[in-house]
Amino acid sequence: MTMTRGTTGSKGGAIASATPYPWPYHGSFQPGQCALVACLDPLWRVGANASQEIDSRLSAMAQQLRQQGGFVVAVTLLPPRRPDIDPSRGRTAPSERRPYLFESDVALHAGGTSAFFGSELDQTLRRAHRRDLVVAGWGLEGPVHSTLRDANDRGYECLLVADASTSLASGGDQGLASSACSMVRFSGGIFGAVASTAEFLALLDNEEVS
Amino acid sequence: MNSTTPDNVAPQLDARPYAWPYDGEFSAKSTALILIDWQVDFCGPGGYVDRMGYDLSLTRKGLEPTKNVLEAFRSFGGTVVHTREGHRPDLVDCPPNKLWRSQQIGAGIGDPGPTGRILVRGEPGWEIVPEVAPIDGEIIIDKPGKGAFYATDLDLVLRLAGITHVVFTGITTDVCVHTTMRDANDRGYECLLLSDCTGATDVGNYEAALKMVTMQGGVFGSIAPSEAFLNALSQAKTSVTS
Repeated sequence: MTMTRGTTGSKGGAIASATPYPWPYHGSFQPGQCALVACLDPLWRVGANASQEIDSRLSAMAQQLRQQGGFVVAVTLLPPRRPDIDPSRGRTAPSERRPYLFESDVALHAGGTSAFFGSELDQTLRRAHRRDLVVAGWGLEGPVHSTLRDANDRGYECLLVADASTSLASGGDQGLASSACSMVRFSGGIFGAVASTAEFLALLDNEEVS
Repeated sequence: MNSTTPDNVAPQLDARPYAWPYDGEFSAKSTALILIDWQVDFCGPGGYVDRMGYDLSLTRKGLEPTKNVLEAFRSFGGTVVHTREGHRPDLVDCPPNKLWRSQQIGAGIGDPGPTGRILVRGEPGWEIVPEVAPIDGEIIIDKPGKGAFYATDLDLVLRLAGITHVVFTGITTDVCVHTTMRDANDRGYECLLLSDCTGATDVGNYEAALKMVTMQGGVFGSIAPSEAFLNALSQAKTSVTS
């Protein structure tokens, strides 16, 4: 994996190696205008199948972004519901979450597979003056993608961090995970851009020393 | 709902990963056919997708099957909804990053082209292609984004019409169709995507988008070829509930 520094400058920068364009598009990244939206399952995890690597990548992004004035929102999402399959869907209160992965500024519930549906996410981000979003967590092809799509329509500048997201595809179908990234990159970055955890952390490093 | 008005009811059809709809049958009164963005900009020469350099035959592929489904669904008596992506002429509803990306790829939103200004409401490129054009009485939703629920009255219109079941056709599969289907599913609509009535700018993304619907027992609904849907419509029976 290549660690790429953000472009130089006393303030701002971008992940030059993000695809299909250096993210964020405006080239003046500032932690104070950025939020990490971490999609979590109803038990406040990155999914039952989350590896330690994925957990630690998401935690590292959350910690370092917060240290620099960034904003972290943890959102739990609900699995699909159909009365015949899933008569009751339980959920846990934030205080019951386990394991405790990282500190967030705000913890929210959403009512579906998009973190924007039935939640205060949009209002929360607007009140905090966040324009650039980093999206990762539970369900690359499911909640993470739905959230990315809805954020993009609302005008947020989005970065998908695929290596900090779990795949929903059964049997570890890598094809669907890579397609989820391909869909973002098409048409000049129709939903935003894609980068790795290391690339995002390098952008934060650059910000810290500048 | 007027309990004495006759309704057409069609049987459950073969679909993946589960027979659709999950609750057994679907009726003309409670089912909508949503045709997503069959606009010149997405499937016509000189439009936005053409200007980006993608193969138009991929997005046009689903047009003929969609035309057949639309005709059959009109006879069935269901609610027909067309969507159009486009911006106000002054682009005040176009996010700056969306505008920037379109310019980077050489198809700037609002720029002049062979079919008028790209993705701008009222221009020739923004119109729905004649094969599946709306007729009087059909609902048209204009949307500024990819999803047809954001910044539109689609949810209100569907609820007031008593719609609980939604069947999707349109372009492109992985972008506007998927976003709208995901959002419809979150809102509790029982969703079906007709696999040959949709297309994308990339075959791999089209196939992956279909497969994503079938994850986890049907995370966003179910998928079926139009033949199965047409077969169900042909078996529809008129019922009068009391």
